[in-house]
Amino acid sequence: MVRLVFLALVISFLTACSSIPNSLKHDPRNQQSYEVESDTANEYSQQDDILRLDEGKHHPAVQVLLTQAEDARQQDQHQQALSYLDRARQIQPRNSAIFYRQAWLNYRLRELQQAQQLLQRARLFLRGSNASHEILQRRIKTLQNKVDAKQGL
Amino acid sequence: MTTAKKPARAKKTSTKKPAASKKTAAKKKPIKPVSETSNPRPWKQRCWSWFWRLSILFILVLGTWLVYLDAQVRSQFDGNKWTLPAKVYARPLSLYPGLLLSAEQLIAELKWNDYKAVSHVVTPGTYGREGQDWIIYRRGFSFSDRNEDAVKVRLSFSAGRISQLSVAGQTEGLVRIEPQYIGGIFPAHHEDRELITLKDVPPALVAALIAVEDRAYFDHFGLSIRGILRAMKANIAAGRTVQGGSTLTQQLVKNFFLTNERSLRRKVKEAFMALLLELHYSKEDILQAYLNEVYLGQAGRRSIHGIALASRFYFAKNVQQLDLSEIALLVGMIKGPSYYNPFRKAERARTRRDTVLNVMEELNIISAAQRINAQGQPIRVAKSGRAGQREYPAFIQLVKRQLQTDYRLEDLQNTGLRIFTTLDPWLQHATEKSVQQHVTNLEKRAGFAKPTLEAAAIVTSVDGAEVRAIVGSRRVRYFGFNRALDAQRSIGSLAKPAVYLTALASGRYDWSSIVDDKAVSVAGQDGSIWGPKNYDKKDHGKIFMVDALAKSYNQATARLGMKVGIGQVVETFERLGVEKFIPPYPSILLGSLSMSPLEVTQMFQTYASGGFAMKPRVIQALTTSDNQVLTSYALQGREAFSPELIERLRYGLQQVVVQGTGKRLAKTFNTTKIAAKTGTSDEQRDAWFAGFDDRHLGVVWLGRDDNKAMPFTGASGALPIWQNIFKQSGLEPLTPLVDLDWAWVNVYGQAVEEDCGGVRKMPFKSGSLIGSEISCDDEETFSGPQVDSIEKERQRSSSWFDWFF
Repeated sequence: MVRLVFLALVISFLTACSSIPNSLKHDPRNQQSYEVESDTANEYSQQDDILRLDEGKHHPAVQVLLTQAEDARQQDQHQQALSYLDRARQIQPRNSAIFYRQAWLNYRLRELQQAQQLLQRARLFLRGSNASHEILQRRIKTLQNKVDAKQGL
Repeated sequence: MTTAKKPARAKKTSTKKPAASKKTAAKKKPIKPVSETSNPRPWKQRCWSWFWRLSILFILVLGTWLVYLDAQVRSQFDGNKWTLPAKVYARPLSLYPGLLLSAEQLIAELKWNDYKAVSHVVTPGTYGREGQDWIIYRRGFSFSDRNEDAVKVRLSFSAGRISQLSVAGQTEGLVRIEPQYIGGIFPAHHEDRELITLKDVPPALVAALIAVEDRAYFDHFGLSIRGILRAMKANIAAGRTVQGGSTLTQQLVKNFFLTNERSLRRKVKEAFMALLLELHYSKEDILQAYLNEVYLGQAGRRSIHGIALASRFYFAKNVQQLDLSEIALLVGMIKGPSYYNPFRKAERARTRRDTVLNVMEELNIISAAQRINAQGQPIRVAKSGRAGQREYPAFIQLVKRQLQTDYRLEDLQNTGLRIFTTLDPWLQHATEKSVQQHVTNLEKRAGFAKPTLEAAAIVTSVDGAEVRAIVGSRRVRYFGFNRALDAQRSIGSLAKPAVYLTALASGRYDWSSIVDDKAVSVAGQDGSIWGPKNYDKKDHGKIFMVDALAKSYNQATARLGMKVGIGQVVETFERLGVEKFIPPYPSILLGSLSMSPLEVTQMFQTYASGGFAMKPRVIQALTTSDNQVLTSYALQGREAFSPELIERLRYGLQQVVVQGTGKRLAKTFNTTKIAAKTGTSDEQRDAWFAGFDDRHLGVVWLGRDDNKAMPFTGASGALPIWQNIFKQSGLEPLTPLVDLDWAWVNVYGQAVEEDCGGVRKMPFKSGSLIGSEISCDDEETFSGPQVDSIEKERQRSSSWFDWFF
């Protein structure tokens, strides 16, 4: 039951975030993720982990690729998912959220060293101090701890 | 001849017989000599006997041979008939809202991909404009990650960026244009082909082929007696060979199984193999194989086989898109692809095309009106040297080299793999053009004969190390020595940033540290003295450390390097990604070590990426011919240095553009937010320039293959090439990776409060300034330090270097 409520919240959040960002007049490569900005995500953000690769609000091109990556992941096509994420990274090479997702997927695939390297990049490109970045920062820390624990550090 | 031998044989018999049967001869009447007329049977019998024996032997040999041929025919014709070279593709052009894209680049990339500009966009592979909007009918394509159907895309632009993107009226976030073909990995014979099934070939093309090459194709069994007789008649009448009597099946056998040897033996073999082929395979199978096998010309080292590839090569179209005139020309060229080459012999090709059209009308394949219309069209062919059919040797060589660590060369050459790479055609063209133009200009300026100078250049993305462009020679289509990968040249001052990075990392130096630029000499173990001088042969005294890097002072760098320790500098090189052995000699501090432009790129990549050591990457994904992903290559790279440390180094590299040897870039690009370093080796044998903006890292080398001196430095020889590449790609000023602390420094290199004798503002490690800035009330500000930074260093550390001073 709790999971159902939680899932409903996630879906409602994703629906709310589906509009296209209005800052399209700028090159998206240096823009940060629009991820988790609204208060509706407060409950969700307590999780400090992601459930879906396409959650959050992103640049439309990145959103397309994250959705494709999530579809591929659900079909257990993890390499395919990683290649979509890598395309997203090439569009926004300094988007922490993309690096975080790449790290997360690598962690799931037990590619710990790769996950660690990607987390380092996610951290490098983390900017500002608004809510979304705090969440991302926390998530990175959580994942980093998991990676370190698995590596016996 | 026969009559002359016979008496002899008879005589021989008559002399032998009595001796052989003495007893009998004594008892019986003497035997008369046997003559042929009196008793011919034994001879006839013997002849027949031999005839039959030989016949049986012949049949046995022929049978065995046929069994062998049959096995050969079936084994080669079943399954994969051809070795298919790997096809290499550039990166696809991704279109999305917000993308900065000039009309010039969009048109160029579409053109290089064989898109045609039209007024009404109705077929895939065309594009046009509607007011401010662009309409592109993207072809269907199997990308490495998914198949995408043909779609009609509408693009709107605002201030040079894509503002709106839609497909079939629906807003889209992302659309890709299929990637440009940039070359292949061929087997030794360099055969290239695209396979096609018979159902995809236009019926008119099949009909024209049969009409011209073998009218009785569907009636014969591999050989056409009528065809041979007709050819003989025509050849006798003409007094020379004007017509061939080979069927399509024989032609296929000759091309597929045999050689071009002109001998009776080959002809007989061909005939038998044709019969066997017809015995086992349908007419349709044979026709399809013929259409894929047929040789239709040469494109550089590539030989063009099959009508699908020929259609793309000559007309920049799919076979299905060919019009009647093009079909007739293609079919006509089969007779002699070189003789009827439409690029070089347009008139001859036109005559041949018209002949084919006449035959088609004669056999009621087309109407008279169609024939007249087609014959009225000029010979229109796509340029043979256009980008979509050109190869990029330096890049392909790197692709091959990287793939060979994971795959066997034979598999790359034979199994039709598809290789999706990182090459950016727009940047590649900019790099090629810049190298070619500047090398020629510099040669003229130096009064060198052409060709004396050589050059190499590599451009990568700063964050992912994807190789976007690479040139290995001034002859950009040359498949020979690739200087970008293999030329080992002295790197000169490109080594200096590693010395300064070591100094910053030691914690004992900041950019404001005072270093001494005065004559230095070091004795080697063999007693030789190393005494580097500055380029301007002057001493510059005590200067800020950042100025020593920006102005590339040798003496100050050598002193600093010796102070921080050669071993530490070598370690820095290794952490930066230099994989070769670096001897710990003092001269390496000023770049006496040799590296290839690719190795230099790998080293500078660590500065450009914010401290992540990465190997330049050229392959995104590798798939089979039916699009199963074999490998996809993800971003990799360890954090070799902290981003904060690299950010401080980048400040020093930016000073090269602000006030140092790369100053002219600031004027050209109207910004100083470019990190760069020039490099010039001893006696100006090598000129280097390495620099990066917020998107790309570019490394350029200029020199001579005979390693002689040039009248150029890194700033005058290599920098202009870099500058032109970045002019075309569009320069994006650097943005800081991390926030540093900034403070004014006085002439002694001390951080001071604002308006307290500060002469320059410089960055410091985050948090390092707290409580250390000197206020105006402090007397030290005005009196200066008791000992300068160098003396402090001497007191703090006693390196073996001190023994030399």
